[in-house]
Amino acid sequence: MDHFMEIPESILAEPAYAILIGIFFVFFMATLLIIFLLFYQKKLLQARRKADQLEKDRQKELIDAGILAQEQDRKRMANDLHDGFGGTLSAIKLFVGKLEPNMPEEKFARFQDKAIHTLDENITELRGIINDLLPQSLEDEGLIPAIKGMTHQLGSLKDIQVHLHIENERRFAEDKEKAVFRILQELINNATKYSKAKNLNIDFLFGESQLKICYREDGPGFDPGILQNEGRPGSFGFKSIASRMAYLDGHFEANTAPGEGFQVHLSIPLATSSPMK
Amino acid sequence: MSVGEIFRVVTAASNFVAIVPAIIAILTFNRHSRTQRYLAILVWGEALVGLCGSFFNHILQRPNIWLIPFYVILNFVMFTLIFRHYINQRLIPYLIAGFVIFGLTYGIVTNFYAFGEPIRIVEAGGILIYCVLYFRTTLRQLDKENLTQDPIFWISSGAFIYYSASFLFFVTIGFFVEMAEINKLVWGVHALLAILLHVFFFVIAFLKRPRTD
Repeated sequence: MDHFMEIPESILAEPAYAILIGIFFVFFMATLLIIFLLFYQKKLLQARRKADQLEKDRQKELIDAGILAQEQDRKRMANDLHDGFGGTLSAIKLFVGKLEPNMPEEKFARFQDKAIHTLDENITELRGIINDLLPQSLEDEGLIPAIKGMTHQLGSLKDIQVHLHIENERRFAEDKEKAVFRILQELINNATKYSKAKNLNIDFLFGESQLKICYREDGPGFDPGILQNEGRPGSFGFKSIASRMAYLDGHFEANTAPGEGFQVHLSIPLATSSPMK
Repeated sequence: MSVGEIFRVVTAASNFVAIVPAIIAILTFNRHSRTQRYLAILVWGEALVGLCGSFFNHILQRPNIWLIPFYVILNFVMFTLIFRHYINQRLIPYLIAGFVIFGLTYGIVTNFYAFGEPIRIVEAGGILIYCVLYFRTTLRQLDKENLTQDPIFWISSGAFIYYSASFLFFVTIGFFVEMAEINKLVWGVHALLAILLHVFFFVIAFLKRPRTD
């Protein structure tokens, strides 16, 4: 005997059966929810793993960029020493070697003058290299005087006008000042080497907790797609800037287009800033 | 065998459904985590209640309904301890004490002679909240590589399925009391759900001890 076959149809319409169907419905929905949760958790885990991997790759890229930046600095230093001293020291050696006690006085004085003149050039060159490596003003007076010194020197050597605009100047952590200086040095070096810019504008806005820097140059600009890969054509790119900005825990954004110059906006947190004395 | 007879067998079997996981829990108790041990205590209690209920019902021919408040209290307390990591630690003693007082008061008020819908509804609601807390934490923290190796995932899944359907069952049980045939059918469905819950418990006995528990 099947009890369920005997139930009249009228009873099937009763709330009891609706509730029974409801119980089955809830059961299936709960089961589906568990299955969904299982797959959804796996999907979230995969997404997180992917994000972790991307972050690891980014960190590695920044470390590589840091190492590369160091190598670039060393290479530049080696080139400066070689170009600046290699030739002139040989010339001094040549001049001094030609000096003889019994040579005519006029000739002696000529070689002596040449040696002293070349030595003076060497001393100036050496000061330039030292200043380029670590400006004394950066340690003594801070970022802004060091930038002013660098841009003043640039104006006298190259046909580029640098316009600085500074608001609420103040000093901040020395290591951060050095990193910001290196970033601007990189940008300015790139401008002198690769762009045909005539004017550079650098705005510094010191806020309560952060420093905003707006760098603009009026060069020919370039394809913005290149920024995504290697940075400016022919340049070391933004990797070293990105590496230093990561160290500073800051953000930067670069914009360019053919015919529209080149702009970089930097935003750097200043945790331990102190008012300018 | 008719569907009705099958449901009767299922209902009868559900009284002893905790026995297999209870035996396995005895054999595996020492190598299990604290959560698994709480679950073991739960299935031992369930097996004892099942045996006791059958003894009173079939051998002494006396009602066993007085066991319900104790069974429900056991369930709630053990589930609270199982989900202890997902509940506010300060609340745990209050939840346990509150429910024990509520269950016993209900038993005394009804002279231990009622099915106990109110305590079962609160029990089901509470355990469903625990399950949701576990799922939420799991999705937020994403600290478990393989959920199927986590005993508490199986406990939560089984409890969520069983108590979701049972919550509706406990809320509406009053409808069925007067309809003998439908009542048997509904109890059969409930028995199936209980068996399914214990299948999940059965799986947990074979899982390795989690490193974090």
